[in-house]
Amino acid sequence: MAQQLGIVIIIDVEAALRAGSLEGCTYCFDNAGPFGTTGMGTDKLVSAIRGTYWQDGSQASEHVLNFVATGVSSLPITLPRDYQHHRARLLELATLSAARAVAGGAARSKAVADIRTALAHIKVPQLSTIKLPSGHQIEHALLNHFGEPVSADATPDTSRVAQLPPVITGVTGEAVEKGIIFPAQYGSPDLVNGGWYWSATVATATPKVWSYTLHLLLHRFINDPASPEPRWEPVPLTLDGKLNITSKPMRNGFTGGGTGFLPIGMSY
Amino acid sequence: MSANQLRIVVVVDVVGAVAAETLDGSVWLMDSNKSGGSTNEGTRQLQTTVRKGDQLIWTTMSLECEAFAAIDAIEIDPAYCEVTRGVYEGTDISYWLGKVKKDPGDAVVPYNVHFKLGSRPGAVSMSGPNLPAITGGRT
Repeated sequence: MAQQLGIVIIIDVEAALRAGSLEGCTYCFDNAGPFGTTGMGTDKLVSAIRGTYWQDGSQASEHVLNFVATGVSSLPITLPRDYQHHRARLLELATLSAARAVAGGAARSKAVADIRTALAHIKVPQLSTIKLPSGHQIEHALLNHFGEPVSADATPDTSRVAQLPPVITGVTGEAVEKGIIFPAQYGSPDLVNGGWYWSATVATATPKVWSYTLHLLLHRFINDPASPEPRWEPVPLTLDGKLNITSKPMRNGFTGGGTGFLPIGMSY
Repeated sequence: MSANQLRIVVVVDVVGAVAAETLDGSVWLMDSNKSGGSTNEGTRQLQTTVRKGDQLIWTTMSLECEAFAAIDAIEIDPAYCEVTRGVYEGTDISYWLGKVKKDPGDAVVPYNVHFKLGSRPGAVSMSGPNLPAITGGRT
């Protein structure tokens, strides 16, 4: 079976947008640290890839890379990607219930002031517009850093709004051009990244340090009082990464030896 | 200078930590405050600059999306920072909120992060002295 390697890219989006570059404000990781990856926690990740051959000398299978990008100020990726819809829906249900209470109260209440007070407690989520590079726009309910909808009657402060996570839009560069990695976007039943993620298969029989370029889309939050609602402008940036493909054998994490059948263990 | 909300992400290599039976070499931290003077970004000794009244929000992330990681506790001098656990409503994903009670000034106030990892029953923490910290002087 192919070996899987996760490459995690965490971006300080505000710093990157200020600098116009991902350099110095991007922290990259993979889970091959024990196999010799260097540059963990920096923007210069060199991922160690073993496996030109197996422990027994036979040709190894391909390696698989899975890319995940997120922002330091984005909500955790373990939350469902449609979490904002869920929270906005809860707020709308509360609003409906408050409206029903007002309607019920209006029949009994003689005081208009009572109705005004009740209406003042109705909250609606602050919506924003995400501008896609294609020119299309999608609606996004703003959440704060605690996952709560930002109220439409409050002026959203950039630092108190959870940033949209960066989106990977492609993988190019030397390793792709030379046919060392074959990147593609795959659908996944996991809703992280809206059910899509970038993955690449690696030809492991090509020992050398190869470079690749990740294309990322960041979003700048713009709260212009002249606009009807805040908006997110797309900002494309690139990040270079490297793969260090070595002729060291793949190793089975359970046995420390080559891959293949596992030894028959004790019965538990 | 108004109080800020600063995000701190704690990355854990759960499989690496469980295999090696130590968090050494398997934890990295970064915050949203590099432009405010924080240093050692992307290492386990992140030093976040703060001011009195700031709110720190810690979340964790596993390098493997299949591996479970959660922050079980943040251990810090309560004279400087008061911490509480919160949950993103409707989920079991937690965050830790720290309220800065006192500006550390030139003092470096270290803290430890206790994790629940994988299916391990107990919590594990980092071993000193190379710990993350807060200090004064946020700009």
